[in-house]
Amino acid sequence: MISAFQLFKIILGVIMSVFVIIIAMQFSGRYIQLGESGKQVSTVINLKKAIEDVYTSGVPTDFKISDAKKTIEFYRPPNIITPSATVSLEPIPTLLVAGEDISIHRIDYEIGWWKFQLIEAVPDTKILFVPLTDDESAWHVIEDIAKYMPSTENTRTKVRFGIWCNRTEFYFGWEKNDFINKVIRLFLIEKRVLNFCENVNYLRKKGYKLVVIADDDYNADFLIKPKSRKIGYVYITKGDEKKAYLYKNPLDIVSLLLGGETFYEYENKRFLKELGVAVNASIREANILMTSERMGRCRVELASFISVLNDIKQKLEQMNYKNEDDVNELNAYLEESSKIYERIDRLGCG
Amino acid sequence: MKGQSHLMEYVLLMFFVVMIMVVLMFFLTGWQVTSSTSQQYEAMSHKAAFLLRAFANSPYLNKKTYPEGSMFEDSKLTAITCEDLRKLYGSGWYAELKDISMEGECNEETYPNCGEWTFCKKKEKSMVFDIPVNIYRKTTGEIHIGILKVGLYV
Amino acid sequence: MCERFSGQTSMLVMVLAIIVIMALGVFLITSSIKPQSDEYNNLYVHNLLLSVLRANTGYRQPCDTIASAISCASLTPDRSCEGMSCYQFSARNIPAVIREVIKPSFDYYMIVQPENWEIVGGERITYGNPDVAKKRSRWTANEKILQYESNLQIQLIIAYR
Repeated sequence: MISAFQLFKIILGVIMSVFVIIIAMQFSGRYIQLGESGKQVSTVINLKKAIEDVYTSGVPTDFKISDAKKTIEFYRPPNIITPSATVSLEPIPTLLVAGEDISIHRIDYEIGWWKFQLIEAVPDTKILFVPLTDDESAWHVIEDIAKYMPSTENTRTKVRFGIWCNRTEFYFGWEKNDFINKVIRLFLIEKRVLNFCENVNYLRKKGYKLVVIADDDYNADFLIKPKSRKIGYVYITKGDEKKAYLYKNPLDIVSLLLGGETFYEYENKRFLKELGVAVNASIREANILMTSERMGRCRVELASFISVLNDIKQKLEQMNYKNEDDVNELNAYLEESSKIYERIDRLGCG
Repeated sequence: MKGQSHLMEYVLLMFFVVMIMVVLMFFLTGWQVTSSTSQQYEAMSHKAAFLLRAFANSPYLNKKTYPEGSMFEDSKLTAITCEDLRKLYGSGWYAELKDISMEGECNEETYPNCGEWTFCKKKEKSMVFDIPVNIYRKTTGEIHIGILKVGLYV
Repeated sequence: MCERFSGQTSMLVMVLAIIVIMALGVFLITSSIKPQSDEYNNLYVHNLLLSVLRANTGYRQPCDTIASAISCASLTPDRSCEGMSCYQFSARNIPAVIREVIKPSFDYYMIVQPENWEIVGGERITYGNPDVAKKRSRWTANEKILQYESNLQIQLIIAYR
């Protein structure tokens, strides 16, 4: 028979053990949960750091997102939404398409006196252009779109382009530089006419993005109808719904292609916001330089520059990027400002 | 007496076991606090490094013909405001740029005979990081050295 | 006899256990204290080198910029520059410029040598404190001055004093 003391030892031992086990289980339970969501947040924070590096250096890079579907629930610019946290990519304007392996690039849109920088982070992407008009403008649109897509020659993740279709064939596999310098040149010179082929569903299943350029209405998921060299409409069809979006530059088309309406709205707002900042700063800078004696030779051009910048500023105050007249007017002012700035630069005052 | 001393021995043993557990918890908590303070410093220094690099490569502040960056243009620095930079780079910081060979706060009146630019309100409680940069003096064509300072509000 | 010493043994074990746990605690705390950010210091040294090299000296050619003064000192050291040789000019002005810019908490060492110096040899010029290159915690930046026929490699090393 056990003594009272032995009993006391047993009871005290059991109490202590239970106490230790409960604390250990609470601790480890908390950390297992934290561990899983911590890993996801850590991946997204590292992605943000990679994006920051590319934005400041301009050097593209690859990035691996393990278990991308679970890690990034969705991207609503500028926020990446994970199951446990939301990570903002502000202040960097970013178009992010999630995937296991993505390529991060900085795209520069320049008009002489202003440069708008945007990050495009995309997985392997296959784009097939289908020009259904023999008008040269179709090829210019294709060239413009390709110019503002990532150049993946130095990254593992690839963005490839192609042309479709010639009877039943399609030509595919070029990266940006070769596509612009060789393929588009060839088609522009030879003026080949293409036709819309069958096997659309096959191509869609294989992950190709089809970009149709036509003068008339056409039943396509992504249709571009250029109205002029600079502007036009993109028609996106989803099921029975067909929506039209006005574009004023190739960045608008690229945003729609990569992320639909969400990316289009985000990119437009950000573009116009930064343009507003650039205009105000450039007006002040031009005024400062006008008063400097050494810039005397540029006074006339600087005055014209200030005048057109003020026009842009006024336009931006009541700008509607979905209105054709507003967009045409803005583009005209931007083109004029670019020409004046070129003259200022040639005079050595730029 | 023997029974009592056994009991006392056991109670003392239990007391020390509890003491050890308390000490262990203190140390774990202390480690977590130090670790998170160190992580906070790292996060701040990363944000500062990003802002410094962003300014040094910003087309709104730098001369176009230097793709490697860190070549600020004095006219651009004088023209841009805190409000403009807030729209581009968010809030929670201030910035200062000083030309080491010229003095005086720069504005429309003092330009180009000045050498200091301040963007946004300077706060006492800030973590400050700085890097050397170049400043292109537009009216003379000279390249000076400057110090770019970014202060993160704490 | 075992019973006589069992209490003392338990006490000893407890004391040893406390010492081990305290040592573990100290180790955990010290290991979580990290040194100053490498990212910031790397950015600092890179910008220091770049901004110094590109700066104007206020003098005329062949010493109008720091980079050209270094180049002249390395390739044509006896060439005249503001009343002295390029070599003398660079030895006097370059350390002065760096000292004016660098943070007081840092010390530096700069090495100027032809590209692939280890193979082709050639003149090597240094500025600053050579002990900096031996420090455990140091940060390095490299730049090239492109010259006709022979490129120059410039290395700047910084470390805390």
